[in-house]
Amino acid sequence: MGSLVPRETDERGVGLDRNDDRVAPTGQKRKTSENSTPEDQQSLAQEIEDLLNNAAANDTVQECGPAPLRIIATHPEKVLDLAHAKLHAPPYQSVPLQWRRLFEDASLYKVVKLLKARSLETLRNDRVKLRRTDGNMPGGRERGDWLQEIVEVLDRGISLSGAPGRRPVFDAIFEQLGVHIADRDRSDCACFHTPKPPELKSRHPIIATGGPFDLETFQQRLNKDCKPMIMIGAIEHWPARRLWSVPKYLLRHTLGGRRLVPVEIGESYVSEGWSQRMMPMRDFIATYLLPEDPMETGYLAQYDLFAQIPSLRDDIRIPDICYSTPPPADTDALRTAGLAAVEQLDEPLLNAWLGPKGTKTPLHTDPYHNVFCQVVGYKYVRLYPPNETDRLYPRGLDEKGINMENTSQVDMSRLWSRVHNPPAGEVEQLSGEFPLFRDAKYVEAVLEPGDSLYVPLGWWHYVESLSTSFSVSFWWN
Amino acid sequence: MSAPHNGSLERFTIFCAGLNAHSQLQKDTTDDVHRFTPVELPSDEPGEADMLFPGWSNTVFQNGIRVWSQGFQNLETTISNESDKDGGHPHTAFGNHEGLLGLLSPSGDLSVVSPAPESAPSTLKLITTDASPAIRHIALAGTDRIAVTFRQAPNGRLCHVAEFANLEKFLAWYRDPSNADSYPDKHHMLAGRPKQLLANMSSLLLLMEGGEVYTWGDARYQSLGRSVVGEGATEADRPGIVEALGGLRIAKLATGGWLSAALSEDHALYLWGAASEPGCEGSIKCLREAGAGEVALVELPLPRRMAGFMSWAPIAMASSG
Repeated sequence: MGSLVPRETDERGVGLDRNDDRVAPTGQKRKTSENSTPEDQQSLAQEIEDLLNNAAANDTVQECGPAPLRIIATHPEKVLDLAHAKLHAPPYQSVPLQWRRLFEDASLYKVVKLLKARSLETLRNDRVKLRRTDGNMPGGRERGDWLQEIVEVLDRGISLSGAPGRRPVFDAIFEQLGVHIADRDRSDCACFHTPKPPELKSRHPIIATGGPFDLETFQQRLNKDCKPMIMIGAIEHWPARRLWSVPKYLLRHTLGGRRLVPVEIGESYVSEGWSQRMMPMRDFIATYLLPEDPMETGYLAQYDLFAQIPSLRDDIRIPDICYSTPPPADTDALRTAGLAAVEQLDEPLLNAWLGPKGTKTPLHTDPYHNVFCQVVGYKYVRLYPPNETDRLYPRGLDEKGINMENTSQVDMSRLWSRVHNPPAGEVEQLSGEFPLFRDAKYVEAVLEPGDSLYVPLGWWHYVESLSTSFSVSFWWN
Repeated sequence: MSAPHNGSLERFTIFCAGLNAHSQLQKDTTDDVHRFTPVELPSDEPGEADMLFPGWSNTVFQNGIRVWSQGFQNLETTISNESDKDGGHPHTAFGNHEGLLGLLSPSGDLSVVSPAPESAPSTLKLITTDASPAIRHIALAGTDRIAVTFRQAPNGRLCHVAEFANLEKFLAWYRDPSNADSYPDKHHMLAGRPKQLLANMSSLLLLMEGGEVYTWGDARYQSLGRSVVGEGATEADRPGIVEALGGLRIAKLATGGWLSAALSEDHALYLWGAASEPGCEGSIKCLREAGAGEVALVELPLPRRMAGFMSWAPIAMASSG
């Protein structure tokens, strides 16, 4: 496989003041913004093409028919259009594999085309450069764009198809591209702004413990009583605690922030005008995370960022308690929405939650046990037990026919919001609409960086960020 | 991938624009055709050629009894010379991204494309026998689902629609309708006489002679133009009336992708469906605001004299939308 064989990466920067320039093959440190030569681009293109041409004879992609396969190398964008339409036609559970395969292969052929075009363009520009006396080309922004386009094709290829046949090829390409980008931004090791909020003086706090947090101790507690619990400082040892407060670190691990991430735009997933969009990580950070007062709320929520960016996975540790055996669900917890459809997990499901101050996740349940780890910033959490479900007015089907019964009709942010002051009289109005709600018993707390929260299956939870926040959740059963 | 029809007083010229990666519109190139250009037809063709089927990888033309394909599919064949009393398109063509799959004549004769050995062209083979079901309309969606309406008695008032998961299942039933294993996946009965049955990527549309429009299929991208949940709403997978067109007499429907258009008898054009292809940026302005049960009335700057040929406008819109 030549240079597409994943190689050992050198030790990643722990101290951020280390000079991150890559050493060029000649052994000299190069200060240029991009180390990728036309020859590199051409050879990467050739390697991908060779891999694509060596397809298995009975690969399901053949079932798409010969017409798209005839033009996939010359007109990959047209084949992408066809596969894209076919991916959106049937119900999402039943998209035939062949169209997912076609979408991923067409994405890779498009990358080949883009790399070859870039290689030719660079050669042309270099020839122009040699003729000029000063040899200074206009700056780096123009060079950044070609790579952005390639990264977008790759990320959309994986995201829409699930990469059923070519995942190792995608991973190896990202690895290769990463080698060719040096860290240009010398300016800023600034941290996310995460001021500590005022103390929450609650009459119903979530039980908190300082440890020990080993599996056996936790299992004993579980056997006695399956209740939510905060483990103070349980994740202090994660490298993420030191590394993720700095935007620049996240940019470096997403190819200069070029990797696409799904962002939810809008106040919450039940509010009017809520939408989801994929955008480069650098755009997400610049537009929705760093500004003091962004126009809209943007939230990178419930997303397995670690499957996409394996290097970030090394900064976290799966909590031991994910391997505990929770007691069987009681009658109330058995009613949890979606529980019947859920399969036994061999490994916990990971989700990243990265957002600004003011993100609100409406009161809802999940059909899994959850360990929620607060890495950067502060989050307010309120929990209601499964036996309060009838007082929480679960929703039904929405206008598109999607089952929303895991979500409460009660808009918690109207009742309590440390971030945006709710208008007076909200409690009265809410009681009028949802009379049983005020009697429902809850517990609440503010999670601090380094804390972990255990939420048993079927417990209702409302989460609001009190500062810029980065959390990781682990779902298990 | 459209090949719209444009009329002048003396003769027909077929103009084309769009996807040409298989040289299905212009033979000497695989670049997209960006301006409406007269389509290249064989110079030895006498008389008038008609466009039968605009596919993703080919265009099928008809001239008299000759039917041929330009583009990926290698098709060269003949059909019977039936024409209905208006002299318009006599046959209903259906196919997919690989090309034409079959033709249904106005009298209900069904022919399917049958491949030939080696590099010989495919031909159309008539498969209708005296024992075959009498069908009037046929439509194939991008999800492979296929629907047909049955021939009605001249005074019949009940329209039957049968649906099958794919073409193979439909053909199995067509060849042996009494076999319980091949019964249709779904069977709908509606009051009225069917005039047009169409399919797009994932839904089906039925225009009745009384001017009512029914839609069913995938409701996710507002392609049905109607509500599918709530009081009195018909579920997505059964034909339901597009209430927003209630009271209007629709003369013709066109559809493609996730977008549909209805032309009323008084020449007003209504659009509904996905404002942009699912997952894409950019959208059609008038559809962005429309909700699940709404249609958008479109202002068209066409001179009155063109009104008679407005039938192609929705098709052009559907394919460029």
